[in-house]
Amino acid sequence: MDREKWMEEVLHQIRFTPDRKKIRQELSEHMEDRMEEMTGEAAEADTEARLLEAMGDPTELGIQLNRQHKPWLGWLWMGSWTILLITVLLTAGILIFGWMDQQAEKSLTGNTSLDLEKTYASLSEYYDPKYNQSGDILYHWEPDWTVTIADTDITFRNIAYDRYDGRLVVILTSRGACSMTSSILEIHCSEAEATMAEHHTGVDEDGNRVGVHLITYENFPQDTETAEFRYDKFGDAFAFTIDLTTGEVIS
Amino acid sequence: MKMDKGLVGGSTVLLVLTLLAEKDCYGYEIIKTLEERSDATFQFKEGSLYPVLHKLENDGLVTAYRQKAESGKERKYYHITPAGLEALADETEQWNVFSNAVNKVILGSKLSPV
Repeated sequence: MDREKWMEEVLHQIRFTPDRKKIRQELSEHMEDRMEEMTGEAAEADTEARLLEAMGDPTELGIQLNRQHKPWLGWLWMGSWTILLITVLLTAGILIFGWMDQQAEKSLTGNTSLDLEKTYASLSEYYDPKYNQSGDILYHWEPDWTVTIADTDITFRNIAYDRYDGRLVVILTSRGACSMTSSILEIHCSEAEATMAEHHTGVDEDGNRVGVHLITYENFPQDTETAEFRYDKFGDAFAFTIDLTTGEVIS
Repeated sequence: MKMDKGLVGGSTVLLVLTLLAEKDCYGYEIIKTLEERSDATFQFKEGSLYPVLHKLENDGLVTAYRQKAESGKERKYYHITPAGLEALADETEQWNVFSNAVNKVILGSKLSPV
């Protein structure tokens, strides 16, 4: 063993690391003084070995010294890095999960921005007479009829009949506090059951919750002349009748 | 008598405090002085003096400071405090009681040399 290794073995036992420097200094200086005396006598080959022999067992010495250098704090010192690391990891984990939750919530409740008109345009395009080459769209009306439910404005923008599938498609937009996604399928038609709803929700540039909703009524009788749409939920209600031959809202 | 382990407590404290009561010393100096004065009867594993000194420091019986030694090199000096002097008095008293008792037993023995 050489002097440096001896020293390191001693210091390794000192848990409270800030005290290591001073202990190293004091022991080095001692060895310096002892070495000088030893080499003052006949210089021998194994001087350093004799020096270390005189200094004593490094592990034992380190353990004894450690007892005098805040041993309880020393363990905490070593432990504190572990504790710090665990705390950092936990915090990071919580933050990440929180962020993930937020993202999930966003897509669920549509907190991302939505360009209402653009979305409506792309959804209603299919029913636009311009593109009705095949003649499948028997009729297509734009009633633009608005009703307010629970602080939310709902506008019936598009009612069209697709002869190919035998279904009536209603497209409406919503603007307001209510997200409407759970309520849309409660808009009942007198002629057929609503079978499916497609929702595109988000927040417009003013921060209002907006949405474009497409309702499909399957097995809608092709020759229907008038249809009534009715909604009644949680004390909010509306109803209107539309003439499907003219597109006029009657009541 | 070679003492090489567990030197905290016992007569080591008495010896160290006695020297420091005379003058401030640094660690190596204490070792050397003890060796010389005891005619090499006391021979320490030298490192083991430092746990003793650090304990005395922790207990407030000595304080430490850095200073240039006679050699011109800087060393960590130890200085006995009032509390240390009190402790020294206690230790000395205890030692005297102990050694007197031993002497009485020895001198009172029919086998002791006269």
